[in-house]
Formats: sequence, structure tokens, C-alpha cells
Amino acid sequence: MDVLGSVLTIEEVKQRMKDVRIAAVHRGSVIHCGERGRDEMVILSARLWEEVNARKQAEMSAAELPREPYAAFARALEAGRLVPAAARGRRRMRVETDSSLTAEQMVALGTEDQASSRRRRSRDA
Amino acid sequence: MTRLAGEFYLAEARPLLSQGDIYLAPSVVIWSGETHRVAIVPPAPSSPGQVAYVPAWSGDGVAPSVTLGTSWTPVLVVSHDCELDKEFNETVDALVASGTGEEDAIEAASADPSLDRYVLVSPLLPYDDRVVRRERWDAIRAAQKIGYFPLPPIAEYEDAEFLVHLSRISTVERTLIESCPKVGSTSEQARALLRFKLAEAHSSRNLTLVSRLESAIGQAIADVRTVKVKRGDATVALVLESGDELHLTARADRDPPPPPERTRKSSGT
Repeated sequence: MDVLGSVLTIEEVKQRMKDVRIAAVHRGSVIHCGERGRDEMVILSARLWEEVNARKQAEMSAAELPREPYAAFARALEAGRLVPAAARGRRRMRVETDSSLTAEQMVALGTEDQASSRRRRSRDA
Repeated sequence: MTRLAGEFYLAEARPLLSQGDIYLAPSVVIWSGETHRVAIVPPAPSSPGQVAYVPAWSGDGVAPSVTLGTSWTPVLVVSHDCELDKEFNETVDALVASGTGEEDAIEAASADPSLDRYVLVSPLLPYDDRVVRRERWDAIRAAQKIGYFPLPPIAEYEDAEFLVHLSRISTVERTLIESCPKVGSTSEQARALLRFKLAEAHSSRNLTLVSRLESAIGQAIADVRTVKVKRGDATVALVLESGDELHLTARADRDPPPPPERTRKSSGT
């Protein structure tokens, strides 16, 4: 999808941002068009889109993994000690394919103790 | 530190795909929103620990925008062994029942990639503040924290130590995971711990009572003593031959139950 210079409505921008405040901050850098009403259609600049995009990217980057703990695996790969598994196959065995309890018995066993299922709820929950 | 009576890792990896195996393989988190920082097809990860983000689609107001974040790390196979070969064995059984020789049935079922196609894996994550807050590390290492499975230092990989966050499980196609490098296998005891942690995290939050009852089965009651009697409630301790105690609490019903209804049979006799 070519997003640079895309034509988006304010609502679409808000939807993508999931944050009206940020969209409002950037509203000064959009160009209004008259075809669908002054506040309906906007043309996003490349710079604006980059800013919009960078915010989500920053959230994801904050959750990215540090590379150092995996360095031992990188070295093992380089040294050829870690190669795709050669053996593939199946286990021939008797497997349980059906539950041996009735649905009522499952409900009885799966019903949580009230004391252990207490939880705090956030206000908007 | 996780303390098990035996070793946590096997000296030789299990030859077949098994629960508790560790592979260097992809796993996925489905993110809300979209990002376009990367190319449509990102290059292969240059080193383990790398994450690639690609948009799945743009939202239309009904379907939300989605981005896939694919990590390349060691992953733990969490699917149970029976689940990994369930459809295969069902198919072999059906073929044998219809007159096919067992050898031929196994060969035919083995060649079918649609059988047991999906494998559940969870990435091995480092003890890092970005992954889980530092104050939880000790409890995770001791296997006391619900929702996490600790992997003690792996000697073959420079004593790298990881944890598995059981909310990070994703589905990988079997043919994909089997084509990835196998790092190793965990021991039978470690697999037993994994199964307990999975049940604890995903279904029964507190298995203490069940575990105590299971360990009591078959034991003789060596003694019984009263712990507490208060109004209609009483707690007694069953002292088992192992020395463990089971506390049983009995409560008298405040409202007596209604008398049982007579059945037609009993009323007629």
C-alpha cells in the first residue's frame, strides 16, 4: 500500500492513530479539500505519515528483544553447530482422542473456586 | 533457580518432534495498528533475537489494522506429544481397520502433511526488564510464578538462561518447525514441570488442592486429630502415613435440606 501522499479522512486518521489528541496536533499539517466537505477529506503529507507511523513503531520497538542473550546461538550457527534437524518422523502409539468425562463433569471440575477467581477490574472494564 | 532432582536438559536431543524440545524458529505476536517501516518482504533475520514487522492489512473501521511481529529466537515446543501425533495415529488406526497393513498405513499417513499440521511454540525470552520486571525474576526462576516456565542456564550455549512467557504461545506449521535447527530437548522431569505450568497458566490457576489429593491417594491414614470446632463447622486433620496432613472442613447446613421425594417404586413397597 502506498501510504505517502495517501488521501485519508480525518476519521480515518483518527482510527489509525487510535488517539484523537495526536491527530489534533497534526491537523495543522494537512491540506483540506473541498470535495467531501472541509473537515472530511485531508491529504497527508509524507512527513505527517512518517510521524504517525513512527509512534506505533516506537511502541513496538519498546517491546523488542535485546540481541545479546541470543549471541550464543548466533555463534553456534556461524560455527555450524546448529543445523536443521535431520530426523523427522512420527510416533506410533495409542493416543487419547476423546474426552472420557461428560460435559457436566468437565464443568464441575473446571469451575473455579470463587476465592481464586477474584480480580480487580479497571474502571473501563 | 529451578531445582529438579535430575537434569533439566537431555545430553542428546530427542530424535522426533516432542513437547519440551527447543528449536531456533519463528514465533509471532499479532499487534494492533499498522506500521510501514519495513519492506513488504523483509530480509531474513541476520541474527537470533531479531523481529520483523509487516502489516497484515489496513483497518476499514470494522476489521482493525493488524501488524505481524515475527521473532526469530529459540522456541519451546509446548504441544503435548499425543497432540503432535494424534491425527497420524487415528489415520493409521483407520487404515489398519480397513485392511491396510500397518507398515503401509504408517507410510501413507507419514506422507500426509495435513495431519497434525499445527504445533504450538513459545519463544525463549531473556531475563530483561523489557520482557518482565526484575522483581519477578527470582520467583520465575524458582517456578513459583504462574504464567512463566523457567529454563535454567544451557551449558551448551554459554549458559544462556531464558524464561518462557506462556502468553506468547503461537502456532507454527509442523513442516516449518521440523526444518529449523534443533537446539535440544528437555528432560522428562522438565516436561512434567512444563505440563503443570501450562495447566496452571491456562486453566486451573491453583492446582495445590488437586496435587495434595493426588499425592494422598493410596496412603493409609495414620491418625486423625481435631483442628477446630466452631458452631456447626469442624476441621479435622488426616495424618497420612507419609507424615503429610490433609485438612478437611465440614460445615453443617444452616437450613436443613428438604426431605427426599418418594419415588413411585418406594411408595409402592
